[in-house]
Amino acid sequence: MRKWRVFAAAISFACWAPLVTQAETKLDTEKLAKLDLEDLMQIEVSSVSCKSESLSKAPAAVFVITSDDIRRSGATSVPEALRLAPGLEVARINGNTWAVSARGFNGQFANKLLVLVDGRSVYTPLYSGVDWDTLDLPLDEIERIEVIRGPGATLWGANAVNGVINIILKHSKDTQGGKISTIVGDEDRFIGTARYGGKLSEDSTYRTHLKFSDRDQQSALDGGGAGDGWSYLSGGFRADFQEHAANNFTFEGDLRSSNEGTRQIGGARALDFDQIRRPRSEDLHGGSLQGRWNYRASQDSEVKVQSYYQKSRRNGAAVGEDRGTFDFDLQHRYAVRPDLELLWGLGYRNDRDDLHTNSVTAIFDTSKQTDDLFSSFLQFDYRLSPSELHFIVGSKFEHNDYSGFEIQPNARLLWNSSEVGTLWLSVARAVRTPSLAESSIQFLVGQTETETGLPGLIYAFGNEDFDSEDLLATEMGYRNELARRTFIDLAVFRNNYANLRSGEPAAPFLASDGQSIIVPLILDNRVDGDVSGFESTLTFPILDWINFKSSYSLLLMDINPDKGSRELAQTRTQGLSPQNQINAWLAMNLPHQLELDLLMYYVDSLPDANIDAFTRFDARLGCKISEALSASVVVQNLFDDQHEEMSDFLSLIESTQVDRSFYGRLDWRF
Amino acid sequence: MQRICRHILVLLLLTAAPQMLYADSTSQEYKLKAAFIYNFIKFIDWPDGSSDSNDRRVSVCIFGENPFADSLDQIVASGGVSGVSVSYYKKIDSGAKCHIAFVSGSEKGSIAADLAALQGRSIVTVSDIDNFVEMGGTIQLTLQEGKVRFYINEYSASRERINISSKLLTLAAKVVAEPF
Repeated sequence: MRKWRVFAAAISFACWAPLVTQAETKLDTEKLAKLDLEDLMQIEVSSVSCKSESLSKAPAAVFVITSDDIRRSGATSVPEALRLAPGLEVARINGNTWAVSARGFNGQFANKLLVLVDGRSVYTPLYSGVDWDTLDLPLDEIERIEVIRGPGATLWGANAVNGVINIILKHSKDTQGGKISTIVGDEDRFIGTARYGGKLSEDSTYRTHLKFSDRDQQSALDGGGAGDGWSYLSGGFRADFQEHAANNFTFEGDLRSSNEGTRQIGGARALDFDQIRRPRSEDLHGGSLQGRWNYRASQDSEVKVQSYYQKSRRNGAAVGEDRGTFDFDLQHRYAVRPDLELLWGLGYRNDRDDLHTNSVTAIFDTSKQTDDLFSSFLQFDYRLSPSELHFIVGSKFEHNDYSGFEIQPNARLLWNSSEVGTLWLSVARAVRTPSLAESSIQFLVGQTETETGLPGLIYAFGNEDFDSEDLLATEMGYRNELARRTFIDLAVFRNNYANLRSGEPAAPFLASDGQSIIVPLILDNRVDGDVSGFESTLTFPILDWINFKSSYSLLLMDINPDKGSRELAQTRTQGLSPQNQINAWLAMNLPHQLELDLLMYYVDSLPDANIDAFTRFDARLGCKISEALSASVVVQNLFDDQHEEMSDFLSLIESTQVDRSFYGRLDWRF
Repeated sequence: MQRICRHILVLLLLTAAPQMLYADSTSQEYKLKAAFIYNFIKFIDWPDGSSDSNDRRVSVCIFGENPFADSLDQIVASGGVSGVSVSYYKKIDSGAKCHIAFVSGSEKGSIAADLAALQGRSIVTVSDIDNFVEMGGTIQLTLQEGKVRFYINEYSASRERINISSKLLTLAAKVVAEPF
């Protein structure tokens, strides 16, 4: 029999949180063989939280960033770690703002990606995007980041349009004892994390953490400091209670408070430029509380219940946002027959927000608002016995306050062959539901001259009839272990979009103060697009002690306004995503417990942002001084003084330049 | 020599560590179940006729989809009992020479016919399919509070002229002695 070794982790493609469930304590067969029956009867099977399949069997384009990858990459923030994943676009707009998207449509307000932290959605319904400056997690507590390209709407719901990022935190039993980690550098001036984990009882564990980070400002485009420094303080806890492996409960929560600098640019050309461009300081606060119960009644039936409440407050330079979100989810897996499995779930989310207009650049005509989201899903996994051919079909049914009832079906075919590898095929529909901004904002996008002699201010106007953006996605992929430690993963996709956002010019009118002419662009759904692409990853050992990991992503976007549409700007989104991206990583394990990592990232030009292609080189040297102490030094952007990564015409803020940076890091365990 | 080996091992582990999730994917559960099956051999005596020769040889057959990956092979290879072999069959094969037959969950639909096909040949049938012992199987593996437990159908064993040691019977979570 050919030894069929697959990627270690187990995947549950069908769970909201962990796509990959990694064995926490690996049972060693050699040890097992030596144990007698009485001993074996004492061993508990570690809980596998959802239906477990190996990663090699996932019928989707999945990439996993492990905790070790994060550590060795030298990344000091979540979005920086995401640079490792193929098919993702990560661009740092300024010191505290990132644009992250999957398979196109990048920008500060990228809105087709769902991001979850331990199953908790962290995108803001304000613009359907993620504020990465609210997510400075302690990276050491991340077990893994699962990056799923392509729609995951059937299981995860609206906003899982182009991809899903699942950030999964470590179980508290894996973070027992104390650890203090300190980073001191020129850009990451200080990042200190203290963590302590202990036992509450025989089977219950907890951990707490405190993190403070202080990041320097980047360089402004015209040189000098950009005033976009960032400091962030957070604390959190997690407790895991386990009655036995098949019945466990997790309780976790966190609090954060941060301050950052920014310079507004949105529409600034039209108004008192210096007044608007003056550096502003924003304060952000937030917190979350979450409970999760997982019960496996038998091998054929498993229930998961999760609920959370999160609150956030941003005193933004343009818009102030107070938000409270309550969410409840239930999921049940049930094996109807040996060859037929049913997965279904119900969800409810309530969002309350209170918006304050702080600047003429973004005005909301609503203040307090409550939104409800009801969802349910159903998925069947049918195994065409006896071969390893699976047919998976399901749909999400969702009701939101903006576009009403949405159906998001998905069909996948999966073939696992120990000789050939894994082949999968998927056809899915997903929708990006309207955001609060799209229904009610007035957004200053620029200035124009008018015949009257008064300045014309171009404002985008939200539209209550703005509808969901539609995606029909066709994807296929192949992955295999070609030889020992040699993995290949390929995916091709074609995404057909309809009803993408457009801005339709309407009749200009005199502003209420009589000082300017308002030139309105009414948001509508009159843009279509075809996006296709290819992603590959290849990993192999060059020598036993050198691992080579690489990925390549190709993205071709063709975005066009509908006939009769007078849309001008939205089609430019295609020039905000790089056509080609290449990652290469040499991970070396040298004698004397030394680790050397050399990383290269190539990002193609962004023609619609006037950004040139750039290649970034990072290097890390790490060493283990003793069991308790380890140290590392990291240089990022080794051969480049500074470069701009993104300048997005919809962005409210001025983009700045990423500088070369270095830091030293010391970790002490006790 | 041992030192060198250990160093090589550490180096191998270190190179493997950053590798994206490199290891085997057999679930913990089935590794553990494989160890149980292997242990059962020590507590079972088969009638003379069912062995190929005088020295004790035990052949374990896996029928249906293999849930163990290579964990059962590894346990057999590193365990102390000699003469154990493992073979895999996609479907029930009435011609297969087996002492222990593990019937995989994939065969749930045809379990009655499968048991009938294996009857009368002194085979210890093992499975984790629900109600396996009630349907006439010899040993059923089950999970209770996350731990592996087993039921024994003593009636089926004695009908097949298989002698199960009293120790194994006392460790069993349930012993069925009556025909159904």
